[in-house]
Amino acid sequence: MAGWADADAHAAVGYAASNLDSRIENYANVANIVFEAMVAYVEDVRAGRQIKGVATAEATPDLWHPNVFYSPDATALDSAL
Amino acid sequence: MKRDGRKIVGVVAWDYQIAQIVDRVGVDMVSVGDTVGINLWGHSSPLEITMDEMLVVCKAVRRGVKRALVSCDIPFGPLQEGTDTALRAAILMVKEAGADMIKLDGAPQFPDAVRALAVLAIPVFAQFGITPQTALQYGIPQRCFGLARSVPAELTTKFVEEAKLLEDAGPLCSTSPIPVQWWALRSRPLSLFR
Repeated sequence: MAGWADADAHAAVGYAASNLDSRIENYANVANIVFEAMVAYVEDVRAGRQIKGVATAEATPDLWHPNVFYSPDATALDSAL
Repeated sequence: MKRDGRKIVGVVAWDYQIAQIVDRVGVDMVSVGDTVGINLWGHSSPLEITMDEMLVVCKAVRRGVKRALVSCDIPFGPLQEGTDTALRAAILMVKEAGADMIKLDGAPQFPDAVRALAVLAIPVFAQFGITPQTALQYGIPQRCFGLARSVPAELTTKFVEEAKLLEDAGPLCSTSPIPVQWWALRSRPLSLFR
């Protein structure tokens, strides 16, 4: 029986880190997806680029809150400092 | 890394498998976040998670990380109860769960605890500004917290002062989850940003 056949959903989707080196075919290889995403994330951080997955007011207007979003005002900030 | 101008890469992990993967990728720090309660276990508030639960999660992540630094959140409770309780929690997290560093949410409100941990040589990741545990104090609902991109201008001075206080207290690392204008902090004499 293959690894997932005992109804282990994690095995079925290849969640375990061991799937990075496994040749067993699963329904998905989450470990590999996570690995590749993290490699891209590390590259973005090291390069000083904006990372992905950041919510914006435009993307989530239903969650807008006045204490969270505001337009930075350099003049006001200078006087505050 | 900071002296070399190299960006430090941190990532949050809550389990052994993901911890192994991100460690293999080469991140510098793995943070065991108390957001595991909300994001993995269905909690409705970041205050629900307990010290015992965080110990279990930290142990799992620690087993998966061989190379990166492991930081673990102290959940809401021990720090608020007082310095002695905070110290006991931090020691437990380091001794039993293997954390290299402990993270304190709302650290500026508890400078004595931060100083006491520095004396014990336990590295502190001090969180200031609007944090998950202090968001409601600033009138920000939890559901909106993750969306924050910046703090209101009137709070900037307060948070710069918090950063200076933490620097004096001696933590290894400080962050504000919601950006306080970093150029403003850099304009102040904080070694954290030099």
